[in-house]
Amino acid sequence: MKKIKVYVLLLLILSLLTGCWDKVEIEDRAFVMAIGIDTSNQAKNYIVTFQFPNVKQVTSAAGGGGGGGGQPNFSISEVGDTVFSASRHISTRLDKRLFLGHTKAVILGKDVVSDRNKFLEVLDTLDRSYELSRKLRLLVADGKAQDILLKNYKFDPDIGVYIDDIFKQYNRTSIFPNLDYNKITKSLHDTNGNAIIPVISSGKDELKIAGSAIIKNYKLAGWLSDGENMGYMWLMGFVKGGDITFNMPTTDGKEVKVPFNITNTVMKRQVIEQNGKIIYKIKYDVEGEVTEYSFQKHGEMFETNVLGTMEKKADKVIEKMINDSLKKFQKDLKVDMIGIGDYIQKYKPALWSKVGPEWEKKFPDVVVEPVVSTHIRRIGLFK
Amino acid sequence: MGLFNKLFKNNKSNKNGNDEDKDVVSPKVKENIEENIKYIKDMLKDSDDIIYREIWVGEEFQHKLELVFVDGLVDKSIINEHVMHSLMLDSRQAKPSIEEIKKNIYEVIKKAAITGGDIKEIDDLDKCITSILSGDTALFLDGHPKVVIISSRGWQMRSVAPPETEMVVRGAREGFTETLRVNTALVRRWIRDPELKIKQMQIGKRSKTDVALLYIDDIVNKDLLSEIKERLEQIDIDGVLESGYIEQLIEEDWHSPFPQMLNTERPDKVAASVLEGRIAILIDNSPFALIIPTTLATLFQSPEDYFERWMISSLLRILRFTAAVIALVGPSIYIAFTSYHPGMIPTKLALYIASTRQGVPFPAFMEALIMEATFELLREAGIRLPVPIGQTIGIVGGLIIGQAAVMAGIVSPLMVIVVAVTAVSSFSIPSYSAAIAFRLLRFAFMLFAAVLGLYGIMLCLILMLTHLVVLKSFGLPYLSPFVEVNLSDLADTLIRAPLMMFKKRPAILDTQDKKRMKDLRPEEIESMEIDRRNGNDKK
Repeated sequence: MKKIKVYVLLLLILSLLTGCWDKVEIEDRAFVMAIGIDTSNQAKNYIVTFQFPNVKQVTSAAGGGGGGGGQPNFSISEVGDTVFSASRHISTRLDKRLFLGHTKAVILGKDVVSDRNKFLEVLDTLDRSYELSRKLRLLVADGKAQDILLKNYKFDPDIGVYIDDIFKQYNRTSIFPNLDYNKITKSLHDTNGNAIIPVISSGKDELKIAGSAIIKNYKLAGWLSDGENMGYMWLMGFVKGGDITFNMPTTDGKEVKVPFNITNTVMKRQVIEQNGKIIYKIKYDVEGEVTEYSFQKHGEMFETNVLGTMEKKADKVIEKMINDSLKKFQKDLKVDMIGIGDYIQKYKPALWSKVGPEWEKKFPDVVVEPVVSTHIRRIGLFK
Repeated sequence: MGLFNKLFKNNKSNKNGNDEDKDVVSPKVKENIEENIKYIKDMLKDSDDIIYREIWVGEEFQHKLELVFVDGLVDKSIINEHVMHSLMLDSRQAKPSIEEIKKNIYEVIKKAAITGGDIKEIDDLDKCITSILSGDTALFLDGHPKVVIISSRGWQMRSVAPPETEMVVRGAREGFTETLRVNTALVRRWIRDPELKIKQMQIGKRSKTDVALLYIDDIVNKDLLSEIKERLEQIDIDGVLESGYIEQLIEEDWHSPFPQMLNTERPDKVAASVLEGRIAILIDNSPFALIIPTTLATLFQSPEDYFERWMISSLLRILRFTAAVIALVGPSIYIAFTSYHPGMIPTKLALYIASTRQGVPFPAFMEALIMEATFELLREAGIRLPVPIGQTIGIVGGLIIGQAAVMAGIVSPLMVIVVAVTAVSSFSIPSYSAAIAFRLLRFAFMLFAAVLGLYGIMLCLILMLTHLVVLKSFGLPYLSPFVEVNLSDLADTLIRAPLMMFKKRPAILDTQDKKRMKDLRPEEIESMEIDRRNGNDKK
């Protein structure tokens, strides 16, 4: 009997003293799918835009029940002195509790990343949020984030999901980095403010993610174009797919463009110290297939070493991409965002203890030797 | 436990109903038949179903015999053909000398006159009455201080039918009936071992129900056996109507929702348990046998597991354990996720749930409670309804209530799915009494989930596990063999290992004879195969 009394007491304590303070029914939450943060020239510092899906439409799209109607998503902007206060003040205009647990993307306006203090403030707010997922996508808008979020896109009106789905296909092109919030902030805090953030821009009916913004010392330092971005992806070993194009000569002296589709790459790295110089060797084994090429004459395949020529051409193209990108980081920006320091620290601790303290100065002098060997697999049936 | 002990300590003073009666001194059978019959008639006054049949035998009909039996409990053909016919007609043909009969009529009757199969003699009138009421026939002889009890039990009984609560696809189709003798015979047919003991006793001061203990003498753990016997002897109750009475009176912890004895109406399950070294209790008037000791793992075993191939059986085992988890926490997980942790649901599902719950007037907990209660109601009603109408309740419940509730917007469609999956899961647990325990606990889990979310579910799980760890079935930890490291026992829990691996009886039972199968390795079988193919078959 005593035992039962204890149990009953425990149950009462549980139900009466704790209460359900954080209990919010799922239908009473406003799911934020994407957040846009811009600076403002007005009295308040920030304009924060929240994008919500029209929950009522979800079932009607799936064919069930009535309800729904109206536009497929809503976006609301709010101004505030800080991002946090804006997110609180937006409650005055919502009938539901703001819920950031499913937020897929945070888009920072170009003016936010251009201002070091504001960027730091915003980052701190995002880092402190217990609801935001570390897996969400952090992007920089080429203009104002608000402009991107206040539109209705035809492909997927749900911008957060739209962005997330674009990222899932990064290895079709490799022209934007597949980085999430966690990787970007880790890079920012590890390297004292250096990171690459993918760039988003919007067309009339669709979104586009391509290229990236280079952040140096918590401030926008430049942009990587599509090709440079792929070079960066090569240097980081992120390329698992994508396409490149090289030129092949034709019999009449002209050149024809040949598309090459990368199916797999293996990267091996090595660091050697020679005469006080650090040599960083990267060896790539690239596998892929030529997707279109018309032979000039019958039997060319067996007479001449066409495949060998193609492989060499592909090597050149990839090496050029890598070198272009390398030049940007080593000569223009002088920031190691390509993981050389990280590699030395992890695998050559003795060397790192020597060069680590002044790595910023050493980095531009590192000799990087990329060696690419491309293999064409599956030549197909066409002659 | 404390109360349980108290209950039994009080009982120890007046230990057994029969002992108490003995103090009053039961009357012995007198020589004078009239006195005996008078006593019986006094005791069985106002019982009009008792038949007294006087027979006069001897040359001049000078010897009076009297048969006493209960109409309806006896097989009339036995009495007519093997008792009355023998005594009245056949005995005359034999023509023993008159002196012989005069001198020793009892011997003659016992040795030569009655052709019935089973007779015994007693001199206690009260025991005689018990026998009569059990369906035996009492034969009183004038001038002889003993009663001949002729076994003539034979009443209308249900025939052996498939066990309705424990159906299998592969396996015997026989189930226990309400008659103890038939049930013990069913088990005997599985095990023809002289060591299979069927120890019988009577429990219930007034009902005097036959209770049989089944065990294999050179396997069973003797301590366990004496413990069970002791607990059974301590029962002092007016009547035992079903094995559930025995179960509740001898179990260790009556607070627990979990069954500490497995009940089954399958003789093959009883035979298998007895062979493992467990003890079965069969009770007259109940088709449910009790198996002792029972652990949580045995509640998930079905006889079919051992008849089908091990991979399939293992898969089914895993399925059942999963089903138990769903039956336990299904609705509470739904409540916790939708009310507290929508971040843990995949985005598209979260939006879908939010969308279907638009306009549902109840919080998730109330919604779940309403649907679960409705389901329990339907189930309960389904049992009560006569079979032809029983079908209707399925349609009314499943289709009309489910569909209508969703259409009316009172519950969300996902809730209906959750309740349905939970219901199906709870019925896939082979032991019905375990399934209802999980069903009961489900409501506790829902309450905890409603108050504290996932944390509450964990808390409730910890509470339940604490209870399970403490719980014992006749000294055997309820969670064994999970709580002690014994690899050979684990082979028959979450999975059902190949039969090859069951070389020993469960170690947790601590049986006398531990070995169960000869060590026949696959290689030996293989070499036998090769031998046979080569024609070297050892004949």
